[in-house]
Amino acid sequence: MSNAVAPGPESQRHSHEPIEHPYEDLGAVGALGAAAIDLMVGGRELYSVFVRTLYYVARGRREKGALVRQMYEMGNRSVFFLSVTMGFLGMILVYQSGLQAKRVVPDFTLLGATYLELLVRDFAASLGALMLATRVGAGIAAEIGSMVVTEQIDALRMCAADPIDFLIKPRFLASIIMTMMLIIWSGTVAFVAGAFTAYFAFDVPLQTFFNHQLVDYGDLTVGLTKCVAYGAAIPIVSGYCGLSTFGGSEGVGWATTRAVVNTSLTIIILNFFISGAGFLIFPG
Amino acid sequence: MAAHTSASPDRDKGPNALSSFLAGVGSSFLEIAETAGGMTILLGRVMARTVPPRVDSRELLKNLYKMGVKSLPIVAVTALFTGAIMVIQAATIVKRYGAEGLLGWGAGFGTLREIAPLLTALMISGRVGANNTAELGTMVVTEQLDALRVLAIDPISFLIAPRFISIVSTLFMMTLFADALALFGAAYTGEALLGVSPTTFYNGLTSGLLGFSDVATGLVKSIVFGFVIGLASCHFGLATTGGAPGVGRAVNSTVMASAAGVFVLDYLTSFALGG
Amino acid sequence: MIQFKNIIKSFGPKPVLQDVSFDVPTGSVFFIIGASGVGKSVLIKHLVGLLYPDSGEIWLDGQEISKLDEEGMGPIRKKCAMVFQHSTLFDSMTCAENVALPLRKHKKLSLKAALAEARHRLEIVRMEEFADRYPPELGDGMRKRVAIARALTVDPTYVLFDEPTTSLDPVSARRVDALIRELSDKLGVTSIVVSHDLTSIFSIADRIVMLYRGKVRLQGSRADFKNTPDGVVQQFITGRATGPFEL
Repeated sequence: MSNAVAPGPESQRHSHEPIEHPYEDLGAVGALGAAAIDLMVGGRELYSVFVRTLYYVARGRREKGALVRQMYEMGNRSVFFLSVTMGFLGMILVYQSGLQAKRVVPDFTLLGATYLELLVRDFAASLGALMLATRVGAGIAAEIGSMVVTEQIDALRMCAADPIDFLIKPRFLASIIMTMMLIIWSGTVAFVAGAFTAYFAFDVPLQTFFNHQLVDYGDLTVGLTKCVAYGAAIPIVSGYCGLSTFGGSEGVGWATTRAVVNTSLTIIILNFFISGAGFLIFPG
Repeated sequence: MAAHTSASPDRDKGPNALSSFLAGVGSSFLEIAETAGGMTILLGRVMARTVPPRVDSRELLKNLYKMGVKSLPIVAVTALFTGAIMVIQAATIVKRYGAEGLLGWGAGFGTLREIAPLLTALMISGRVGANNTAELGTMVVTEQLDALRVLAIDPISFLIAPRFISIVSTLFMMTLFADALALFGAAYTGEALLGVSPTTFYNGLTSGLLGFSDVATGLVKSIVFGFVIGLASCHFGLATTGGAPGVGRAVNSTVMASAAGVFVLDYLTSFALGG
Repeated sequence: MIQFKNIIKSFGPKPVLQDVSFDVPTGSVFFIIGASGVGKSVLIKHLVGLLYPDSGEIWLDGQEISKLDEEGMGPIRKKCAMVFQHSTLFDSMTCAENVALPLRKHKKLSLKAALAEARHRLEIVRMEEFADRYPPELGDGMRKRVAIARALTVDPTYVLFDEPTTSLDPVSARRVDALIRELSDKLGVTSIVVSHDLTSIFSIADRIVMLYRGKVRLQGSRADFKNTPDGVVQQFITGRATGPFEL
């Protein structure tokens, strides 16, 4: 089995669940302990991938067009999917907020403003990133995973090229840029969809809805920080899952699954920390 | 849903890009229609085997256990963090109006009706749905499914129906569990961040503005999401072609179709269940 | 007795079987041989309803089966069992559970009874000590024997073998051959074997049919094949690289 993540004895362990074979009965405590160990080793390897990616951003090779190609791939792949899902999301959020407001204080003047604030501060970035995690993250894991099982990664390392430099770095940079662009786009879609929902469901005039007075610099900062953080997280986590593919060609399917789940979890955890920090720094 | 056909290397910003984008949209619609049709047919075949019940009980129990155990930790983590995040978002508004007593209601409403079912569905789609597709897809490409048919064992009764029912049940139970944990996470974040005691939070929850119907709405949604995820997962697993890379593609399709389907049905269900 | 009458099958524009007709006498070990991709596996999959012919008829024990639907194929599949090329055991179950599955489903045995019967059947193929292992832990030859035990659980009158010795080492291959011969001699089962393993063909076959370019080239006994003047057949059975044989 190829060990593409990090050379060295510490990475001889594969830090993820094996293919489902129920004949390993560790008992509850053993299983918990095994999971904890897996998590720690995985966390350490993930951190290693992150640090090395940053290193190669600064010092790695520059390949003409690789960055643009990755950006095109990512954007192309996800824009339709993201637009549809975020459009529906916008409709849902406004509909639910409207119902909520109706019960308490049936005044919709600030509906658009509050919605925009929440969108900018959190929902556009977080929910958009969750969608991107499924589309882009799965794609990255599948591509890199296929390269692992066809031994192309080994071939790369024979040529003294680090797979992280070649494969993850361009996707890392592309993702940060594209995630920001895609989230701004999908946030807009969600907002417009919300505006029409407010109009048709609650008779809120569009001018009233398009109200940006509640959005301040704090919200923008938090929202953009999230875009950057998620954009960085998606390729690192799914790239790591791709590189740690094992189990032959079937392993690619499992790697994709792991990538989606782990990336989604990372986004939620990052969301918590950034939102918390945002609240403490910009309480307005 | 397969990758866009408009991935041509031609990067001119001109009529080429536009027409290939439109072609991509058009073929996407056709694919979506085909997928939706396939899933409906599968639903019919599965339902036909529930009445009278012709579902393998051993497989059902095995899958219920496996899926439940697999998703518990992920749902727990997601729910706790989500509850916390909901409070953080509601906090700005609560502070603005000084309405600490309403924090329970504010965070609770969105969580129970919307966020908990939605996020639980997304996480389970990734964890259980994708896994299920990978398992079924692998069985298809290694001819294990043919082997079942040749042994005169109906694959739908034996393999598909138990998994579908397990996915729906798991999602329902996990949403219930997520609701509780999210509120728990929210209550303690409320205390940590805003100094709102859990008792106040709890009172805000049960103050009468939130009712059982809010919880019920969330649970009905979870069942609908379960249907979507279960159908997508089984459909793409069964339709896998092209060897091992095909399994990877099927997993990709499942995850995406589940996400899109969940959003669309979330909206339709919200609308149907009304105010 | 099985009869193929004028079977034609194409996959899209690619014609595979172009008018194949022959009979399989009951109780024999019957070999279908030919180059890779000529359509041997395609042909036998018609017998268990995994494929349907574009035209032609297939008669099994006096019943025409080429137009039966999935439900109609049920009884046929209990008469005619298949051992797949890659053994195709269920990876999520132990060997014993694999063999027990059809016993539970068709003979309505309880789990305990089915497992006990499964172990007994694994004894017959000399795999009982691996009853509690999982298929990925076993070698190819061992999996093949478990697959044969599983196929026999429906008490079939016909057993189809799709390239049973192709991926096996020489010793395992000869053991499988011996098992196939034993099935016919001791249980009266008609074995239909798809193969291009010359050693198997000339040690256990009662009758052989060779497919060449979508049609039957020659039918007969081992002696008929050894002594035929047909250059194409001779090249195949003596394994020469040059000659009139075209893939």
